[in-house]
Amino acid sequence: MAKRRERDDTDRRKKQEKMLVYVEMIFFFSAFLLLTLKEGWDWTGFLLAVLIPVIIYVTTVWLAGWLRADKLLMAIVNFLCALGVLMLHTTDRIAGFSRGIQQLGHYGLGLVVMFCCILFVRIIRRWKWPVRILLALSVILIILPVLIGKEINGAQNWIFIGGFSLQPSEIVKVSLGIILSYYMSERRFWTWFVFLAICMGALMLQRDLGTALVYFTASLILFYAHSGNVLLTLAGLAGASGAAVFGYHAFRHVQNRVAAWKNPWSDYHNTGYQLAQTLIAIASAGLTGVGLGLGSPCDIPYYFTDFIFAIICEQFGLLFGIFTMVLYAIIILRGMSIAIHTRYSFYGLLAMAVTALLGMQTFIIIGGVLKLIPLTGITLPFVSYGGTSMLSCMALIGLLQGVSSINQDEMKYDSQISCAEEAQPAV
Amino acid sequence: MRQKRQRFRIMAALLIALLAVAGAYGVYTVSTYSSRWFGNTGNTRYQEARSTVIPGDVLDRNGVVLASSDESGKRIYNDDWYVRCAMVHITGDPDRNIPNAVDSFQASYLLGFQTSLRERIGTLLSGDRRRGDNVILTVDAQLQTRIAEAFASGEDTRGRPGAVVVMNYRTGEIITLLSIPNFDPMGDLAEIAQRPNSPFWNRAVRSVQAPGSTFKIITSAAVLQYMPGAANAEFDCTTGATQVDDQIIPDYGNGHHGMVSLADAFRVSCNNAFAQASVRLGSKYLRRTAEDFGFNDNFLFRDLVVENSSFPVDIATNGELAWSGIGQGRLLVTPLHMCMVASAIANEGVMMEPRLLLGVTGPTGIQRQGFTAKEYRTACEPQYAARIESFMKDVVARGTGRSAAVEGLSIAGKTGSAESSINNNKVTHAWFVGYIDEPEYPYAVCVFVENGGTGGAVAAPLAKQIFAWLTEK
Amino acid sequence: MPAEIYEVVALAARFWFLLLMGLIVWYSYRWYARERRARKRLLDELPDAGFVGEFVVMRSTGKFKQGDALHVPFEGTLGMLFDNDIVLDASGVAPRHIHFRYDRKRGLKMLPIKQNNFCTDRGSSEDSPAGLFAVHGTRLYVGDCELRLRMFEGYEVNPPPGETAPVYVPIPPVGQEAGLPPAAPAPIPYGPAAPVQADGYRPAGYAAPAGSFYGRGIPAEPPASPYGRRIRGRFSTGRVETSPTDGESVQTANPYRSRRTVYGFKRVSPDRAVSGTPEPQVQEAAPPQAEETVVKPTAPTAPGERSACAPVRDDTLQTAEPIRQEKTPPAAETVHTPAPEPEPAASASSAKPVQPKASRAEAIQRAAASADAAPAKGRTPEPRSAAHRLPAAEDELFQPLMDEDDWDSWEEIPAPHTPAALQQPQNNNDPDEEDWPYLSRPDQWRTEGLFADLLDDDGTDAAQPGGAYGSRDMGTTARRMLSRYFKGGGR
Repeated sequence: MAKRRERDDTDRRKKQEKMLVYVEMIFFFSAFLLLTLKEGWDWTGFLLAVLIPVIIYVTTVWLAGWLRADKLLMAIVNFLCALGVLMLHTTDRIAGFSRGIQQLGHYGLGLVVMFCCILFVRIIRRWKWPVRILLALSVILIILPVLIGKEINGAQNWIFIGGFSLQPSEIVKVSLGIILSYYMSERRFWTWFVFLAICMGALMLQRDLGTALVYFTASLILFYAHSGNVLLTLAGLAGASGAAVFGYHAFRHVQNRVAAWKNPWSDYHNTGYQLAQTLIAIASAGLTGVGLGLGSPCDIPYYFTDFIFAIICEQFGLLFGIFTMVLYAIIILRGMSIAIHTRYSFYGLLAMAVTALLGMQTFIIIGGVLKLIPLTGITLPFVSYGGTSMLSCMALIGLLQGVSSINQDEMKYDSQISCAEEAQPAV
Repeated sequence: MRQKRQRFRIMAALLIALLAVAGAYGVYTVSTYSSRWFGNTGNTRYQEARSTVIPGDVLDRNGVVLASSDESGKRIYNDDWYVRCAMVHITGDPDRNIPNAVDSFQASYLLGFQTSLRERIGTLLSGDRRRGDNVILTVDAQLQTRIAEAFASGEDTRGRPGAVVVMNYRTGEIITLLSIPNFDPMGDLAEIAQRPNSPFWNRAVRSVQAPGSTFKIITSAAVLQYMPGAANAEFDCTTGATQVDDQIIPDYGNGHHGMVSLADAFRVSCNNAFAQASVRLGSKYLRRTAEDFGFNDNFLFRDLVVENSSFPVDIATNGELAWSGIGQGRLLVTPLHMCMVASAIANEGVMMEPRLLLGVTGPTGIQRQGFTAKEYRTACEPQYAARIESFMKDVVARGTGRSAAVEGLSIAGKTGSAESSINNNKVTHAWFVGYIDEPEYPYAVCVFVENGGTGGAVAAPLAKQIFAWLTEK
Repeated sequence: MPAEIYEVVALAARFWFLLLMGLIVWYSYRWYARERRARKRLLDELPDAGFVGEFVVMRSTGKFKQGDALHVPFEGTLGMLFDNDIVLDASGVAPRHIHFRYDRKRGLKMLPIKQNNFCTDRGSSEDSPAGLFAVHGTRLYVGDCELRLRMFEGYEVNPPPGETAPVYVPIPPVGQEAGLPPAAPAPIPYGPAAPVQADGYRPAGYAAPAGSFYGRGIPAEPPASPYGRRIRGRFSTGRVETSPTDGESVQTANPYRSRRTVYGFKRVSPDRAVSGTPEPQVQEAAPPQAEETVVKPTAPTAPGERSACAPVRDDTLQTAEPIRQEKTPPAAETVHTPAPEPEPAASASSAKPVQPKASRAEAIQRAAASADAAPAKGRTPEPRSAAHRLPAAEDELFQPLMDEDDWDSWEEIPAPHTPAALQQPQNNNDPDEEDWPYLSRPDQWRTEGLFADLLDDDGTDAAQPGGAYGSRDMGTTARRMLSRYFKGGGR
């Protein structure tokens, strides 16, 4: 009797898991179909309407199963990435670009990178030399923009190599998680501290304040989680506040940002324009939005990267935006759950580093868009347009899923030797 | 690992709390500010909507069409030049030089952003062009036009900037919201922009000035509430000037009132008495009372964007405190807010939220939004309000506001003469706030004349006319 | 589509999208919460999950008694403070004393935190800055305590080559020296090394009648303990079903059982289990073994053969758990225990083995039915061989393995479970076979009057393990706080 109930439970569970995937597929199919029909018949839109649900199904149901990846994370990340493609495709029609298709390419590449990262975490058994190599590469990469970087939008954080442009700080974000968690678990304070200091210094020289903020807050979270040293954590916080005050007085553009945050309407035509247009967009949407493909998202400068959350809010409504934030919260919860159920502190810290990096990045950009904190130009994970950003976020999620699959293996092993036959490890 | 696991939980909770704060803040700001943001002139959405939607009409409470649209969607205003001029700061102008006028602030109604899906489908099937909703305002266009004419033609007020606010103190409906100088919205706006005294500036809600002696209403409320033995207290006005620290507080026109009680001091508007009273009170209680009356608050009224009034939070010296107690110093207030202060006294201490929107009807005639009166805050206890009302009636009966008295009506009021300096010239702004204490005419009035002179001589006579017109109907 | 129509359609569609988004969020959350619950249930079923073994307290001046078991997770700290993974609240132990990490190839690596020191029987932490490795049976001296590591099966490692297992000198229990006979290295009173097949495990007629375990003057029926019931109740599938009437136990589905919580069975090391099917007649015909054969696996001649039968291992270091359901084999009883005093229950059990055949057949049928119930649902029926359940060789790839300080040395040490390791004779010294006699077996504690105040109903003083990932869940904490601070309640 109990057994049958358990079996029913399993059935229902699988059905519900499938339901999530189906609902996502229906969502994107209907959304892209609507855009396809907007002005005549748009073959690109139709292609996306078919392709995106197929990608979601294949990656979530098949590939994740084969790779023992975390299906829930997979489903959520797929949804967010596809949402980014959808939003960019919507604005494409209005602005006349083809960012949606490009983003689809980034998305596919990101999936590949994610699977590579899962395998990476599962295959690497001895992390000593891989981490050392990563450390060396990361230091070179993070310093490179200072030497040969191109300045774009006030921050010198891009390098161009043979026609490709990339943002090293995004790539280093991934290795930052690995390096910090490895050396913390090895209890070698100075190694990771010096590395972090180099990163922060390089980012300050590049004037990439948003990324520096993400690095710093995530590291602080990780440091506290590792050491539990409240005093040092507070000292770090105080040091950061001091640096922020210093930066405020030293840099003109920081002052502009803070002024625009305090009152975007006071200098509406200049520094406050971006934020004011964002707020207008969010306000015009209300709770349910103006409708997919409507509104005027292109009023906001950089709507496709930093302000894509405002576009989501405008077209789908604030309620939808809050649902999106709930999805991010579920990613955080899941990351925490994975971190808790690891057996070695390296894996735990790695999972927590990923969680902290993604969570802080999400909070900083969403808080900036909603005028809760001063705006710093970073991307919304998975959704914003940008190849490097997409790849780094997917790589981070890949690390998390790698840790999760190790957890599953361990749990399976435990179940085997403890003879709990029905045991099916969850996370 | 065990400690780490616990800390992982804490940190994840922190991250989620941060996201929750962001979400809650988003909901809060959108629910409180979204109409303000949407009505901003930088919003291109309703300019785009103009090309497809015919904006709805703006009507006054008696059905007078203040603004409507022709078939092409172009704004046309009332035929009467006087009405157009008097109402311009409420309706707005075609170029939207006046921020937060009804035309832009209620654009989500006027341009049909609130139209329901069913109506949209109905419009689509009928093949008509979309029309926005009609907005009905609480203002009385006829009264406002008469007041504007009187202001423009009055002997003392002619050519001066100023503002007049009339509101129903029981419900908060705004009957008149007049700002002078005004202009014709169908005139040459480029030329109008060059005129002196910035005509695009809606003084009734945007111009913050020292309230002068009208602030003594609030000072006496503080005295009554927080000073023991206030009823029997006597203040020294034998010399006509009080020295507080390094500041010398004179009386207007250097009057000598001898030893006065609070009621007498209020009636004759004795600066010495109120300066002493406020020093005795202390800045804490004075500020608390002022904040009870809405100072230092962020006004988030549903239909109006009103500049915030401020009472200094960092009064350091008794001299400044004394100046604040008689409505000078760093005190700043809008005419609308002073009208609300008088309304609070009239309404047994309860301040109503000022409303400009009487209702919204859809193009097919269905009512989209009705009128609901809402309390804004409780300013003071009813018994103190009653005491102050008796003071204010004294002012009109035999005090500085005698020129506002109307035969057969119970009128309460307070005059004010606020001194300030414009370009190093000392000027005196005339204030009068008052109300009719009759159940069938629950109206409060605030008259403000910039550089007009004393309140009793300049503002009170205009208020008298307004009281008369209000009761004429 | 004309713009007006599109607008209306898009306006209508936003509710559809909002509905779908709400569903997505709801399903995601449900999924998360469900898996959380499932994991919690699973961890309840596997109280040992996340632990590699336990430190058994040999001697301590603190509140610990001899025989207390402290669970050892994969990585963590040992110290005095409450939030350590191993809380050793004894004098001489620092708030955080030792950092340890389990290495699958080399054992539990222990490093001192800050200036603290400790010793194992291989040396002191001062002499080996690279850390000390503890394997199954290693003694650890920290502060005033002496602990001994007992590793769970599946996590055992052998001492490195060249090192022989330490020779242990029995230490009489603290405070028990006087008045009691010294705890001599008593022969293990059970477990003749009848070759045990992986699947069948328990030869027919092997089971002792009910009550024989507590046969020494102790009530036959094991007293009901919520703890015991709970644990046993959860192991629904791999559990031995004991029929109270005939006292027969049948291994139903899984030859393995919890390393810790199902009492009374000798552990079969899964690593050395057989993959082929054993011949049943071997054990039928197995004569009672001599006492030496308890210690060593039954005289294998070739390594291949040797790995072909699973030796019975006495893995019950003197932890706080008694071997509850231990069935003394009737035949072996007389041979093995030269007990000083006669044991009536034992002799009774030797008289018992007559069993009604019908009930046994019934029991076997029951077991078969319950074992077949699971595959009936479309799952591929798993062969019940032990090797199938073992981590396969390619799975080794995915086992987490942490760094040592010397990068290359790990290659030289063969994995403990590989045939290569088994062939090396020096690798096969199981430390727990003979030299574990410092305390009498827990099932004798009652008769000897030991720990009378500590033993609970099931005759152990075992604390219920909280689980490696444990900690009180937040809901319980919140309720407690609420009741303490707001409802005026308290503990």
